[in-house]
Amino acid sequence: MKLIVVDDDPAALLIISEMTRSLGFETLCADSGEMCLRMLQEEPVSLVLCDWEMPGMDGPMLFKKLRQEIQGRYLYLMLVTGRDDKEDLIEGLNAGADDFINKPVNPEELRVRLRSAVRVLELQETLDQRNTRLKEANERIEQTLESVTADLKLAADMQFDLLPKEQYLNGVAANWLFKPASFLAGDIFDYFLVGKKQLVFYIVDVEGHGIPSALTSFAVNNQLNPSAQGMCVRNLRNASSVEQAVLRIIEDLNRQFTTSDTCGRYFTMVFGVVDLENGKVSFTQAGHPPPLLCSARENSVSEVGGGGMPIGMFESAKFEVTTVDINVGDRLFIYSDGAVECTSDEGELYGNERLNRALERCFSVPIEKIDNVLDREFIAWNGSGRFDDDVSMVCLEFSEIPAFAKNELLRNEKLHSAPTADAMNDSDMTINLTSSNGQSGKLNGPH
Amino acid sequence: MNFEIEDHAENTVIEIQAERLDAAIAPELKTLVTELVDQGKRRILLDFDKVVFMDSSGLGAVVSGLKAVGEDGEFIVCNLRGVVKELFKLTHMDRVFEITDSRDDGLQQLAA
Repeated sequence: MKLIVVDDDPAALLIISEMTRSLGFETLCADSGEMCLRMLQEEPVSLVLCDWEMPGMDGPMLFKKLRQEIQGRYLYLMLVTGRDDKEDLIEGLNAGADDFINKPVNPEELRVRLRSAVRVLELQETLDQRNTRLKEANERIEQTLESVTADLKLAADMQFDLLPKEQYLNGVAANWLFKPASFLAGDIFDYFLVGKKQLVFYIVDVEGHGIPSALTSFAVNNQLNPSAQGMCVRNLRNASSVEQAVLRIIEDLNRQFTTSDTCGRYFTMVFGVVDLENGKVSFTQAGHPPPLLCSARENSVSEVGGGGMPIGMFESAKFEVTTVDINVGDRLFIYSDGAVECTSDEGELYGNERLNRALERCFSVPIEKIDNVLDREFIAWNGSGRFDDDVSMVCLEFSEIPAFAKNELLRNEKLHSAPTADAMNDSDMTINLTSSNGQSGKLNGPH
Repeated sequence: MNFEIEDHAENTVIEIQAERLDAAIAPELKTLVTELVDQGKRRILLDFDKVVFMDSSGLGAVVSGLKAVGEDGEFIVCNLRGVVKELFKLTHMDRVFEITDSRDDGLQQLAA
């Protein structure tokens, strides 16, 4: 190990430096504080033995300067002095000395004190190396985290891009709320027109949340895409009725996503088709919370649907299709369980009851603002704005009858009954799209 | 320990000790049932007495338990309450699982 001995007295410098050399040190000599400072700036030495009394810069002055100017490595500084009273010791320590050795220097004492200096410096070096390694590892972790976070943000943007953008589809107004629990959600939903007369809608909630759930939700979404080759369009074209198409689609999905592998993820969903021509909604409720039908005429919110097993759990699962009539102004509301299971600070679940009441209050809110109102409602309930599970909701409002349906209806009315003043009243007919306003019967699967 | 295991002759009772059977402990339940089945224990009663909440991952783990014991095994659940019971109903799992009101009924069912 290298060390520097500093002394203005050439004899003392010679004696001490020889002593240290005989102890195995590689010793450099400086006859002043200034010289020592220069040497330390050039050479990576960490151990200094310095005489207290020197003309110009004395020992304590040198130590103060070294502590200020030599950064990046630990210096072990030892004062060589004849002084031994308490105040002097305190002054030396204040200046930055690690240890003292009395003059004249006793070789045995020097050996012992240098040994402890070496121990401290070696320990310091080990710590420095460990610190460097930790710092490097930490940098790598930070870089990885940064790139993973950037990827996740990108994936979240892509997921958001998959969500429907249209707000008005042939007489149906739509709005939605989407709040992933982490970057990526296991929830996904969509609605789109097939031709002019059918509107497909669905909401999917894959078990769990985060990346693995999101990947499954992407896969489901991909199966249900609105292209001509997609499962929806194909079945709606080929089936003899909308109900049959809905059932086939849900059964197809179940077959595709049921695996023998027990770690496969299942999902719940509501999948439905609105027949814009006759004002009927046919849907299946596969393990998912029931859709809520908000009747404009009665100002009431009611659960509709017959329940059912989730998709991807059992190959033999049987599903039901429920058909309900809708009237102009009605809203159909589908949501994931993250909405009703969102907890308050006290751990209380938001629950179905509160959701129903919130939707009743929403009758006076235009559909374009419903997402905002409900978002505020959940944030107020949950307090933190951070959710344990994905929260998603879709609201469809049957705001008007599409022109072709209205014409059809008028034509039918004319064909089936003699026109009366009432029947010709256009606004009245617009409200009464269907004659019944309750739920019609369930259609059971063919199994 | 989130799950306590009791042996009753050929039958095994798993009592869920946590209040929430959710994503945090669902994988542990899956592993536990798989291990029991590997030891040849295929007659299992899952006791929900302490559970007040179950999420989709929890339900997934329970279903994977039912699948793991296989055709010749038995997988009964008991003491379902509140939202847990509702979730079984909503997902029609009440039609798939044998459900008993108490642990004693469950054990009798297993013995039968």
